[in-house]
Amino acid sequence: MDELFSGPPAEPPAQPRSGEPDGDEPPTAHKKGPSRRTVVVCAVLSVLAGAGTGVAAAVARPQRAVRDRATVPAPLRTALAREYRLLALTDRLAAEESTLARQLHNDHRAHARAVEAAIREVSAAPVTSPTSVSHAAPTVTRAQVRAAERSAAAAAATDAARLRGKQAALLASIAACEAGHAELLR
Amino acid sequence: MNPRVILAWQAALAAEHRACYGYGVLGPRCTGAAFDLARACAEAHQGLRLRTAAAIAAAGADPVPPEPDYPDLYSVTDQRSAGRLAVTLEDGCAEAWRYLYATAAATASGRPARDPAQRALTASAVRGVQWRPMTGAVRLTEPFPGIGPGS
Repeated sequence: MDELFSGPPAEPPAQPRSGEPDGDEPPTAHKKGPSRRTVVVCAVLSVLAGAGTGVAAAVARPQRAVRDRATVPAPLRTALAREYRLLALTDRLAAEESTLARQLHNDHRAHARAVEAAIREVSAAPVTSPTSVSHAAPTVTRAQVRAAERSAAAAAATDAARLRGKQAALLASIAACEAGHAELLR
Repeated sequence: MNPRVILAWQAALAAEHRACYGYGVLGPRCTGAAFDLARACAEAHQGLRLRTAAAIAAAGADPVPPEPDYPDLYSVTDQRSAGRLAVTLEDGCAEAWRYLYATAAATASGRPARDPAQRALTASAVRGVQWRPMTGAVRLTEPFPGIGPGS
């Protein structure tokens, strides 16, 4: 479907050579200069045509965005959102868990990047990343993060099963990693 | 069943054969909690090996037999090196099961293989996490089990 929007631009119509009649017009039509009324009408028409092009482009842009969103498989979108939620959550682990939190953070960051790359392969739309978590957010316990990791592992496996090819294999691997996180947090 | 999916099943079975053998090598080097973990892992791999062979046979193929020997598994000298071998075995199994998953995900007829592949991949990733602290490894997790550099 992408080629419908990103194909080469149409070639401009061939311009008649100077002094050569351009077909339908009678050969004498050019001899008389354009009237002032004709010039004004042409100017108004060209302004309207320009405005029309702008409107068409403005209409086409959201359509393209909608198309891009539709092209990205929903399981990839939900997987990316889940990784960002986990990133935010692991960043709120208590200070005494900083080493563990860093490992989990690095894994989820790697997951998010891999899912973003998978999304970019099927869509030209920019991948939006949520803003970073506020440091004022309350801390969370290991048990809370563990529950979130377990839930994420199950969700990623379910999402993987809804996909095909390497997208599916990527989420299957991420699911396995998150099950490992839950084990690490026991 | 798709021949490529059967080949991927066979690769998973070969990895399980290797893991069963490897735990037999490393188990006697472990004590305490590590020994209990080695025994639990060995039992898990033996069960998985049986189920995998049964799945291959049910698909009409002959399950690959184990190698007569695995000389590269004899480098274990103590509990720490036993742990390292266990991680290597689990990474190898994760890679094989992830390969089955990817192969199955590439064809509509491979769908029945995806659930067991996912479960086995996840189980190996979890066992890898259980072993890593015993090896002195700084990194306790693998972000992409079956794909990452550890595989």
